[in-house]
Amino acid sequence: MTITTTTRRAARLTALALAGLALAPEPALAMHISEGILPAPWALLWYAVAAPFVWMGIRTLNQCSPGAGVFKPFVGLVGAAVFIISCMPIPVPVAGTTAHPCGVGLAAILVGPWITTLISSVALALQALFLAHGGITTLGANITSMGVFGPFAAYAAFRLVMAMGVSGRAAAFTAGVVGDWVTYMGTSLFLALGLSGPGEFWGMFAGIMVAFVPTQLPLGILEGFVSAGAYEFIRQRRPELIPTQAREAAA
Amino acid sequence: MRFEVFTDIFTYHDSPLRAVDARVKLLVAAVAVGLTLLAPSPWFPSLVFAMCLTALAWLKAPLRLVLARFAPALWMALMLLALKTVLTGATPMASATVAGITVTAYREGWEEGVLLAFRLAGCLSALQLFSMVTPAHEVFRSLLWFRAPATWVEVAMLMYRYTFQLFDMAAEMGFAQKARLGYSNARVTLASAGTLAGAALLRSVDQAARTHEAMRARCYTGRIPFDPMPELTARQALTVAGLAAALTLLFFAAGGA
Repeated sequence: MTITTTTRRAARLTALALAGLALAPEPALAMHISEGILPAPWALLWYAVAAPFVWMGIRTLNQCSPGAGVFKPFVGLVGAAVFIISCMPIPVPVAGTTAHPCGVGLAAILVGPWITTLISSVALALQALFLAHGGITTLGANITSMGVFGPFAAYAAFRLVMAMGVSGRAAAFTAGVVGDWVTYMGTSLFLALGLSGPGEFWGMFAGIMVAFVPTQLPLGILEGFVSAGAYEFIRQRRPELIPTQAREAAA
Repeated sequence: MRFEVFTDIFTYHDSPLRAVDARVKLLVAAVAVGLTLLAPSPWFPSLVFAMCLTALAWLKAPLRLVLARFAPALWMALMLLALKTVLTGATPMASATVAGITVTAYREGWEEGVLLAFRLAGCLSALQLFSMVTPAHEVFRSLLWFRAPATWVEVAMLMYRYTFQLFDMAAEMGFAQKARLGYSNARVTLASAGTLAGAALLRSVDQAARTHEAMRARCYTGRIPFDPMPELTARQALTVAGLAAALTLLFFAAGGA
């Protein structure tokens, strides 16, 4: 199959997907790969990719919380808060739906990317078990996109913008947008890799990306505003919770 | 409804499956999910789906709850079915013109999409049946028995426990914001959502300090103590082996591998 044919098919599908989304004003949850979607070899591969990051998250947490320290309950509770944030419905005017932020950008700013990977892995496992959102077989892929790609990209964006001397609010906004969009692109990439046949990758990737644009594009921007608002709220009331480097850069 | 969807409250209803050891249920669910994922045709996944739905109906699981849990995943399955049908394959099955755009459905893509959708339904229903007959704390204890990292399980327990408390707080704040026109236009909505997210995080920090004090008062030494689970009895091991063998037989009978 030629690239032109797949691209043409993707374009046709895009029009249909947009029409379908416009006709189906359902609540859109943060984008996770559902149970059973990925073939077994891909599911195992993403588990293998995610495992060292989760292990590093556990190691970092154990190092930060020796003995009966407060940091472990803190991480559990921040994880619960991030989970709540990820359930907050925000209206998306373009798609006529409500969408839900990922919360990984904000978590990466507050507790760092490694521990955010750990929090994301727990949140995704709980969602798979008790919400039927995501899945156990696709947990590795979802951790890699939402727990590794998203937080690390968000954290890098936050540090970069802070290093440029821009305000913390703008840096938090960028982290929120980047974290959400990178998560979404990672998920689309994994779906396309797992589901496309020979020569179909680009068509499938473009099709999936475009099918989720009506919710994910505005959602990323909304997530940026929510992250910036939350960051500013915390900075004004409890500046000691903002990591040292970020405080120094802001000063 | 979101509370009902996430909570394990339904698992406390009396049922014969509730009484079964969580490790047995976890292993059988894992075998069912694994075989469903490996199935080359929709037959085995559809059998698993039908068996699990029958079990859920027998347990009188609320239909609204089951639908609420299945809806997002089935939406994704439909989207992928549409994508596969239009993008994959070479044998035209049907063609339609929508708003001047001709869309052709291909047989190979349709078949692959249907297999995907049934795999999703099979895996999801097996996991839903498991989570509807197993309370969360038993899942966590079983995970520890299976040598899941203790730190991971502790964080999971804390997150699960406090999600409900923070959820109530966030819902109350959200209602209060709404009552004071906190979501009246886009600008105010974003400010309100940011404040709500920040407040949820600050409340979680305060709660973490209180929780830590309470844990210290209860002899917390850096690890939440768990009663060690006993070894699986011969009967439990035989149950797992029997059910796994039955599922494997069904898998091959349905054209597996």
